[in-house]
Amino acid sequence: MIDLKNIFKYYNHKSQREYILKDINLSIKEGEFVSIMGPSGAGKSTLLNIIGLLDGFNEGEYRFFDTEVATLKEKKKVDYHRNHIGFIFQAYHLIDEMTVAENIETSLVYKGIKRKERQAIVADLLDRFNIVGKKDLFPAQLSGGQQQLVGIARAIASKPNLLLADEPTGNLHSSQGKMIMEVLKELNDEGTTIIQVTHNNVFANYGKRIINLLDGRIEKAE
Amino acid sequence: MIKYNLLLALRSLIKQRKYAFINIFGLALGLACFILITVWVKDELSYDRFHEDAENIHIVFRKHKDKRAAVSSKLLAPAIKNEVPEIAEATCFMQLPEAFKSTFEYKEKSFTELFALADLEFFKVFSFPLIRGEPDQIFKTPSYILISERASMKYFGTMDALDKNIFITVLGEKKLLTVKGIMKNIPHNSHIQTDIILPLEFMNQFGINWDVWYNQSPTTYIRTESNISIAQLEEKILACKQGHFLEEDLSYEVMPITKVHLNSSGVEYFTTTGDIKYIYIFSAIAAIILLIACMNYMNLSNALSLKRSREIGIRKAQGSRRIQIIQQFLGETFILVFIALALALVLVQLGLPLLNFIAGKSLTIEYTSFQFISIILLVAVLTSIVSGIYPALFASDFQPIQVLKGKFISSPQSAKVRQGLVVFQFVLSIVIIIVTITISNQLHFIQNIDLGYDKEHVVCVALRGDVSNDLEAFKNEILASGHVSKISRSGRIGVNTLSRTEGVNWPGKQDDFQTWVLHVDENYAETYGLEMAEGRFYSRDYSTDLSNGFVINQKAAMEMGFENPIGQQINVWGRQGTIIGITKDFHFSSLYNKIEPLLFRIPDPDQVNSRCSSLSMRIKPNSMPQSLNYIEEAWKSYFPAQSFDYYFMTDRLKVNYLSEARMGTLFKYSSIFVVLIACLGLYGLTAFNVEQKQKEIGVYKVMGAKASDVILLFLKGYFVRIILAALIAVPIAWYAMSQWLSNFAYRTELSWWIFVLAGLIALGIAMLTVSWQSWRAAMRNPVESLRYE
Repeated sequence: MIDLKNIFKYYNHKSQREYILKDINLSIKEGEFVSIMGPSGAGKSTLLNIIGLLDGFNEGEYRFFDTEVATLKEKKKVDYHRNHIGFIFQAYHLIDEMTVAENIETSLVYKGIKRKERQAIVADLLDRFNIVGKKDLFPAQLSGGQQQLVGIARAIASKPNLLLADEPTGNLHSSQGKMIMEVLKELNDEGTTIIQVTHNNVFANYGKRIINLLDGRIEKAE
Repeated sequence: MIKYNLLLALRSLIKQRKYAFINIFGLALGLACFILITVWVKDELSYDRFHEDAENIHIVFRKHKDKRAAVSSKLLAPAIKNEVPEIAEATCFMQLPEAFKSTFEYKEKSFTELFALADLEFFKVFSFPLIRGEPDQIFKTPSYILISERASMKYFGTMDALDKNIFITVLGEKKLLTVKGIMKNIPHNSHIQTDIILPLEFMNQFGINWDVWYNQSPTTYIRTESNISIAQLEEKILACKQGHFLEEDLSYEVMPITKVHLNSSGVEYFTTTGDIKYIYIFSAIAAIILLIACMNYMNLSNALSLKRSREIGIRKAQGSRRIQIIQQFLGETFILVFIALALALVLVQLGLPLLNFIAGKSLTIEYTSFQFISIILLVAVLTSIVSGIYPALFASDFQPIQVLKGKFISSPQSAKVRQGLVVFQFVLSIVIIIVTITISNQLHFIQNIDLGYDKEHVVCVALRGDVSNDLEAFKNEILASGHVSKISRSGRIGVNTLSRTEGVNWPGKQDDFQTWVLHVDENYAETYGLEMAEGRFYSRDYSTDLSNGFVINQKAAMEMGFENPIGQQINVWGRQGTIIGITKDFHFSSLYNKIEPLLFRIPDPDQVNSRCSSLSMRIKPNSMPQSLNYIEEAWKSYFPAQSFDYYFMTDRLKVNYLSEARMGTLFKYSSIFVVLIACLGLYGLTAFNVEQKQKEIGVYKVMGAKASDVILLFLKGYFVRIILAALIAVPIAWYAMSQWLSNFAYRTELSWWIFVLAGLIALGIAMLTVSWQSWRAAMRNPVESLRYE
């Protein structure tokens, strides 16, 4: 599903070249749950963003579903975002002006799903995460854990094959974090491929595989 | 999708209500100004288009040397109708001047009114709708009269006025007229404005003979075939005229009546309030005001989109295409513009009386007319696109990777665009401020220039008909009362009422000589405080003065070319006489023109009533109201049949510059709105900046910065930008204003202080706007702002 070969990412600062990622080789199959760990500035998020087609790279080869990403057209990328990739963010990134239900529904709108069907999907998700009672509240009225639940619900609404989570528990208390991780594990059990970036050793272990990044290199891959 | 975008737009409007208000209010002001000015422009362009076949109706201007005049011989119309094949119909029409104001009476109702004269062909050219009467009968005999519905109501009430008799007292004689036609009131957008029209032949009974080629009194209008060559037509009219009566340096100009209202300023014997120049200027101002309002929107929503960058990032990560984000932003702009439009319509309704007051009109707006609705919709859509497209393009370009990382996007490029727009807005504001100051300066200048005579404390009363019996007694009484120091009976100066003649001859005259003629009595120079350059003014002490003396001004003396003018023999309109005095030059005409030759003439005794229709009185300065009261009382006892129709010389002079004064007022209001809208934008932008820098300010304050340091932080940037705007604005305004001032023969200097003042006004207002916001930010407790995150 994901095939990274000799990926380099760097910025040029005057005469110096600052490497973010160095020679990344990584292969992830469908149904995996991968945790990326490492200290701040190791390039974890950059790697995740490259995988999620949000960021580019300077050298190397990236095949996503057997398609060479470097030659991928913008339109096709948008298509992947709509149908195959879901994002979960550390800071939730819910839209403040939208209610919980509306936030979840937005990703479906872009997929061109009919209204009735959208509402059914949203209702299912609300039910699944036990937040039916909160559906008309705005993000600011929820706790962090609840907001992240909404973030996950939004991310999986369009049934993506790949879920990318950038420190999904970073802003949460450990009990709430645990709840979120349980949810992710459940999703993985249902077949969704998940890649998460985390600092937390305990939560990293929810992954079936842990990748350790240091200074842009994969130091240890289990 | 649309529903969500709408909902989202409304919620973000409410959340950002301060900015939404600024945006909506600014756009509403801009739209309201634009709509009002458009209504005015549309009205100005609509003049004389209501006639059937309007595009084939033309006015004939006579051009002698470089002077255009709206008068021709009465014989011209019939001659060209017969001899020029392109001309289907031709008519003579004449609006009589103020001096011919006459009293009309029906039973006990009596009013003093202006009236006009026309010939039988009038209705063949014009299509003023008749309610009663037959068009080919109305001007058939000299005693027939045509009145408007308004006049009919005034004299006859609800009675049918047809065939009713009405008396007119003109030049001291009472005549009987019969109403033979009633027409609908002439629409306000007609250059012909009158309620009463008499046949041209009516004047014959007063010894006036216009059936000669050398008299130029009425205005000639023609109706032509379609698609004819105007240039050829002008040639043919000239050829026809010259065939009857040869004149040198003569030509004709044929102008469609649909253009007359806006293109005839400066034509002699023609009054128009319109000027195509003003149409251009105010159309430009309307566009500028709207553009400035649009720029506010651009700037503010561009800045605000930074706040929404996360939302855009998420949408993109979820697979939204750029075009969908653009649609969303444009959609929000549309919503905002239409809210603004609703508010603008309210403002338009409130502002209409003001516009009418300034423009001297009584315009109404048909809000439900198809034309109005389609125009405002078009304007609203254009406004939305102009205002919305840049913020939409900008916001849709956010890269999700950057915004989702939570990085603060400062986007130096968009900040530069915003600064550029602010500079541009202030360039326009400063230009308009300079224009406003210059116009009011020039108006002040022409109203206070030394005219060469004393215009203060002079009251003029209109004389109608034959007043010779009682006038001496009246004059003696008020002179004796001590309220009035001098009295003179004369023609009028200060307005376009003088006549000009070439009929001055002397032995050895070589070049053509034209002079204005002012009919006066021997007290004129004293009453108006004219100074003599040589010789003396007319005097009762010299019995020959009244019959064969002449007084001229310096300019006339110079152009006549006498080395020693006093004592020279000249012949004026057949009266032989001697030049007895030369007055110093004074401004008897408007200040558009240089002083021209002027000849003072004592009228023949039988013409005093028609030539000298004004009584000028120099009132003692300290008790004007009482004096005026006294004069009015005396007037009523001596001339009970005549209304006391007076004006102050100073007021009458202002009439000359009415259109400048109007333009000045319009500019004054425009500049207020332009500056207001620009400042509104600045206010919003500062508010946004302050919000963005809250933490920065907090940190500064914690480190010990004073409030003034914080305020300075914000002021500095704007200070530089407005100075830059002033530097760009000055040359533009300087060029435009020197062009405008060159219209005047007498004008103020474009002094440096105007430019400095305009810059300071803009700077001051802008600094106040910015300071208010930054002061509030500076006074906030830093702990509060730092507690965030």
